[in-house]
Amino acid sequence: MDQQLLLLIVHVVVTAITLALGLIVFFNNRKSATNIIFFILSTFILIWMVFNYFAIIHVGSSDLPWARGILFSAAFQVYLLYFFVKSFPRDRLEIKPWELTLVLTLFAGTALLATTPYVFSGMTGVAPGEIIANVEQGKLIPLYGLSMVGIIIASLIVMVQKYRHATALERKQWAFILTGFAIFFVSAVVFLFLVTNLLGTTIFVPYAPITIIPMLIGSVFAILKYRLLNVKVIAAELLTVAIWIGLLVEIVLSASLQEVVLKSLVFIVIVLFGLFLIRSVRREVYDKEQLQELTKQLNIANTELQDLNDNLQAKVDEQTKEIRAAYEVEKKARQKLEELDKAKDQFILTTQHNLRTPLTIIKGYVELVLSKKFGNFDAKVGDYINRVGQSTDRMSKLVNELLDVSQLKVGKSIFNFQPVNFRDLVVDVLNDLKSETSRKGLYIELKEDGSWPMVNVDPAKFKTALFNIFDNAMKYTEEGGITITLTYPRPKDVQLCVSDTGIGMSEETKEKLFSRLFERGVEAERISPIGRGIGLALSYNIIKAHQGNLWAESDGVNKGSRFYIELPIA
Amino acid sequence: MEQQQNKRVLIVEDERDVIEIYKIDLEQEGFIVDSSFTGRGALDKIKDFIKSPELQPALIILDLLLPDISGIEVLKKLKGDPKTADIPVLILTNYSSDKIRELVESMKNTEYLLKINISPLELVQVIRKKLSS
Repeated sequence: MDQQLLLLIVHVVVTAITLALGLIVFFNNRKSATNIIFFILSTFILIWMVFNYFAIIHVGSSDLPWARGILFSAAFQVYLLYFFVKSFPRDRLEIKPWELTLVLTLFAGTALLATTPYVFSGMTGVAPGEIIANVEQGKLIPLYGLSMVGIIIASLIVMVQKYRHATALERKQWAFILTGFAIFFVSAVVFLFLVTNLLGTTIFVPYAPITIIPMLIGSVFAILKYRLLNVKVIAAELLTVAIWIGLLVEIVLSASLQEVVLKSLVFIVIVLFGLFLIRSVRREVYDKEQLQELTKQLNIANTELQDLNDNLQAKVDEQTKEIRAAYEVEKKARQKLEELDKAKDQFILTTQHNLRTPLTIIKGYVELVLSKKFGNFDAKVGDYINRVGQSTDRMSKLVNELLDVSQLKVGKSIFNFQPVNFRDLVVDVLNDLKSETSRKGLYIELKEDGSWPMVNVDPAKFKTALFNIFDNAMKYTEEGGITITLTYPRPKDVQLCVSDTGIGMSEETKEKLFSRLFERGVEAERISPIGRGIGLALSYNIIKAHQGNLWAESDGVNKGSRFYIELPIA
Repeated sequence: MEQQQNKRVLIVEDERDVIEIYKIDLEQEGFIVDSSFTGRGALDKIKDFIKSPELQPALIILDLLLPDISGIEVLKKLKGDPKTADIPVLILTNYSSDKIRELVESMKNTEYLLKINISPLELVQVIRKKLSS
């Protein structure tokens, strides 16, 4: 293969690769400053190669503009390289205005200088065995070189700085660019400088463009390869482009028109096929990336979930412990309370027993004496002993109620419910009170309109309740009497109203009426010094235990009272 | 009035005064009154009844709070033995617990009375009624 043809192929291939890479990068992200700068850079590399090619093949004095063109476009390259490293890997070029002004000024000077005779003053023709013509160097060529080397050094400084502050991913990207640069520099120094100067041959100089390829590829990888998977895409793209170029060269080298047409058709088919291939690879890679991203996110989510789970378990454990502790405390407190309650009940039972025993004995002896089995005595003595007996009875009743109230209040009392005629209960209790009412000269009126119902009650306990209410009415009534009325407020309830003409009560008294701590009013104290306010509380509790209700009404002090007893019908 | 001639009554009661006040009316009624101050003493007497049925009382008056063992235990022993189970028992106590009342009344031929609510004469009436039925 002759040298001219080899040169052509080298330049066409490198041009094609450069163009392809530039386009790939550009279309990969058209909005990124880095990608745009890279595209412009590759364009100028292209232009530079065109100048290079024509400078070589057009031997003679007419080569001078081409040679100057090489230096002119080279200035574009190195200054664009500076902007490239400045913006990489960001999407925006961040540069201070003074820096931009300085660099652009230097660039303009250098580029302009390249076109003047001060750099290349003329050509001297080709030496035997060489390909390229020698150039006569102008006086300002060191200035041009200084500018070029200067900006390259500036670029290297920027690169090193950025590499040092880069993230792991960015470092990988910089590594690609630096590797490309290193290969470029080493090969440029070896083939262009060392070989030319030490061996005195310019044989490799025309092939200089090849050295630029690794740098380009490195940069492309760096730009596109944010994720390593993209290598596949780039490889596919490069391979495809290489095939296209090969086919293009084939077309250029065709011997006949027929061959050109045929090869062109094949080329078109291959191009279409290649595009399709690139697209599908891209899609596949894209899908894979998505999948990887999803997997990554899923892993993160999983880890978080795991953490959360661990935390949750710990929290649950902790709370369970707390709850258990609280439960233990509560349990102990409850046990303590139960013990206290038991102790209280036992205390009341024992106390009651202890109080009852002497009362029983007093009552017994009183009865014995009164029976006169052991001799007669004065009527006055009989009267006194009678009074001892009555007081003892009252005391006994009091002691009995004391426990009944305590037991009912804690809901422990056992009731023996049975159906009873309501009237029988009322009449029984009234009979018990008859002597007392007649003594006080009070009337008791039982209004009997309508039939009396059967009620489901514990007769003994319910009688106690009724007794206390009737007894209370009678106790606090000095004149007049008691009227008892039966009504049916609702179809399934019966109501007994115990209305008296007694002292009545204030609102305040009414509120405290059924409480165990009931303190009687001043008036009540005056009229009936033996009341103790526990009887109504007992009645209230008994009636409540029968699903009934008890309440009192009064129009005020000295206006009488009305006690209402309500009970479900059996 | 002396209808209950030669019938025996056993009073198990730790208060001498209580025995005294009941004893007078019971004896007037014609009963032979035997008494025990303790639960164990009562159980010993019950053993004697088993040996010689002619000593067996027509009725036992039993208190619940006794110095040694409780009246409930005495009652259980008494009602647990077929030879003494039919003897009527009057629990005469001032210890008024509904629970105990339920327990006592579930026993055969046993009645529960509150001492404080019943006078000696009333007691005699109750016993008379009980033995005639």
